[in-house]
Amino acid sequence: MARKLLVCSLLILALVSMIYWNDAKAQNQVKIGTIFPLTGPLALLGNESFEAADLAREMVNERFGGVWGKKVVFIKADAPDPTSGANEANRLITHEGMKILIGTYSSSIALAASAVAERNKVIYLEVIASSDEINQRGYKYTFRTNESAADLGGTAAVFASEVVAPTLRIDSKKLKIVIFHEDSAYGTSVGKGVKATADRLGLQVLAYDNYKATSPDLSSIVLRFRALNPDVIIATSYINDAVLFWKTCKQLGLRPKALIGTSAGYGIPDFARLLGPDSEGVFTSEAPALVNPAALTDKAKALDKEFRERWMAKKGRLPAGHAYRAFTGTWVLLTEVLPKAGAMDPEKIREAFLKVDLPYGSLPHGLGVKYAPPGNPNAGLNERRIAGIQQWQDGKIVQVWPEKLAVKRWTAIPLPPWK
Amino acid sequence: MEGMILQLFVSGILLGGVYALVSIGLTLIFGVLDVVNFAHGEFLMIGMYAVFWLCTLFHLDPYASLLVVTPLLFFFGLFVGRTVIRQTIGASSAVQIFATVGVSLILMNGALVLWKADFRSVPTAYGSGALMLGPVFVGYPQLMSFIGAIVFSAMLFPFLRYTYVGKAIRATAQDRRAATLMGIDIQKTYIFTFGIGIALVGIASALLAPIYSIYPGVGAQFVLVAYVAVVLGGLGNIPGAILGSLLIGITETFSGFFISPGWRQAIYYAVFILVLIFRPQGLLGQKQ
Repeated sequence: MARKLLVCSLLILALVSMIYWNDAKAQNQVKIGTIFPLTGPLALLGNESFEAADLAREMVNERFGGVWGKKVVFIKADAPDPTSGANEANRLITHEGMKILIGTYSSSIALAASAVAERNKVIYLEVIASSDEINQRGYKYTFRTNESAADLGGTAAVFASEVVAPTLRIDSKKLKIVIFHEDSAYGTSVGKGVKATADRLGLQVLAYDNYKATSPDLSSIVLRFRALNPDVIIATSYINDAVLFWKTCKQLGLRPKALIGTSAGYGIPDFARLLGPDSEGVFTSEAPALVNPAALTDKAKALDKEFRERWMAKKGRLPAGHAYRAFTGTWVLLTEVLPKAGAMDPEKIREAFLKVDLPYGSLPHGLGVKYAPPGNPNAGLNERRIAGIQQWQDGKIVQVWPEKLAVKRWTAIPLPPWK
Repeated sequence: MEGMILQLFVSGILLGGVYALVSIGLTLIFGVLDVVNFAHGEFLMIGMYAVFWLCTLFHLDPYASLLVVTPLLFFFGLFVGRTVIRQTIGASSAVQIFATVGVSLILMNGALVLWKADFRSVPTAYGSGALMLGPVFVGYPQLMSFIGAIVFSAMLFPFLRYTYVGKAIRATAQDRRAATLMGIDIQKTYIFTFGIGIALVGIASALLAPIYSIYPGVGAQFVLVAYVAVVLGGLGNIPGAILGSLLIGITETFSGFFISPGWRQAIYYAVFILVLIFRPQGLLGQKQ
């Protein structure tokens, strides 16, 4: 009995001292929670997105010694789906005491996690996900630096109308397009953006379809489109389905004059890797990446150069749109917002967000920063965001539009016949 | 229009063949062991990775790797059957569910740790090629997987009918106690059947690897449809599973074209529910 008492008291002593020890260590660090899908079906891009954000953190610690003189540390959480997104957000806030959460790549997970953050009056910074809804719920603590679904979708439609139609010598109001998108929050948002802009510009929308991203087969969609014979297909897909769709098009003999993807599957290196030469000429509406340095401020040029070099050293390839989004979103938080806030206080950080005012060209991919104030229908969203058009040329993604960000001219309008 | 209907029919049959490859093993396992194998899709994923590594490291053509991957998965199935599945036979369904879901999670996340989440593909010269039979496009790899489904299930029937092991399996499926009384070693039969079920998945993985990207979550794409096909056809009934798969493939393709791609799954689930209302034992199942 006496022994049991001794063991118990030692355990309690150990626990108590651990708590104090952690606290003491914590004084010298700035802790920020991160929520990304590090496992599960989105793991590929979830991990890369986290790595891009983490690179920003590393560089800030190296260059500036961190924030407020303390090193920045990420408390990382894994959320493969919306339910765990909400649970992990809860855990980070209540058990780890986080006042800022960075996340999450996927719109569905973002909506869940940011709702938890808002309830707890904790800052939620989205760095990649694009669903418009994220900033349309009247939340005061949710901020987003990257372009939204409406931008991605709208830009694809604008490109079809302003570039593809004239190049094909077709009147833009006679251009026949089909729109299809995967049916989660992300795809639906972007699809809506395409449709709204396409209608506004007077393009002829022959079909507006959705499908499940995990479908093992897309031949019925391809056959349906083949019967409609569109000039342009605007697609919103994740990587697996994007590849399956284009392969099925080849098998069943569907070749539109242009295929414009919208970020996600169409914008990542695996698209070219899995399709090989069949990827040539495909467009994607995407956060700008590897843009023309003439569009950037000198500071941004230098930052871009370092970012590209370090990403190449880490991953063996150049950064794509999602990596730029995660990197710049985190960079702005750590180098502009937190210094202005002065302390880990959500109210002060909120106000600091609203004070940031950087012109276009200040970020390595050409964006500026000015978060919409409360009362704006997109409160918390960056007003100086851009979505551009990239094209797969020779297995590489190249910025081709808008002209000021473009590195090369577009090719392959119309796409040559299948080889 | 007739040309399009024919094309849809052919595409539907080919898709059904893909589903059938995965369902046959599942129905065999369920019919004999009475165990719902929630890890079925993950065995498919492991098989596909095996095909990928054989192709990458030894330049083995995926269709040739079938001869390696099938026995590989058979032994892997025996191993899992002996260690995990055997303990769940006759236990409550909660135990079965937890055990097989556990296996599924271990396999999926093990693959994620070992091989990362990148999408791999197995390149074949005829990868995206298609044959033209009249007005109909028939994709080479889809045709191969359909032929494979027919050939291997055809081989399964004489095995089950004429060999001792096959008869033992059928006896166990019919009546466990009677089979024990007849001197059949039930435990061995269970494990062996599980091994065969997984070997069938191995065949499927070699035939499907040229069509789909390979990543840790790829199994989940197929397994849900496989369950529907299995129940639709009648649990434990192999021709039923094939019929169910073809029916789903055709329904899916036609509804995607005529109604809308977004409704495909809803339509075949609706067909599924209707069949179950009027024939709860499945299309070819025995009335209980």
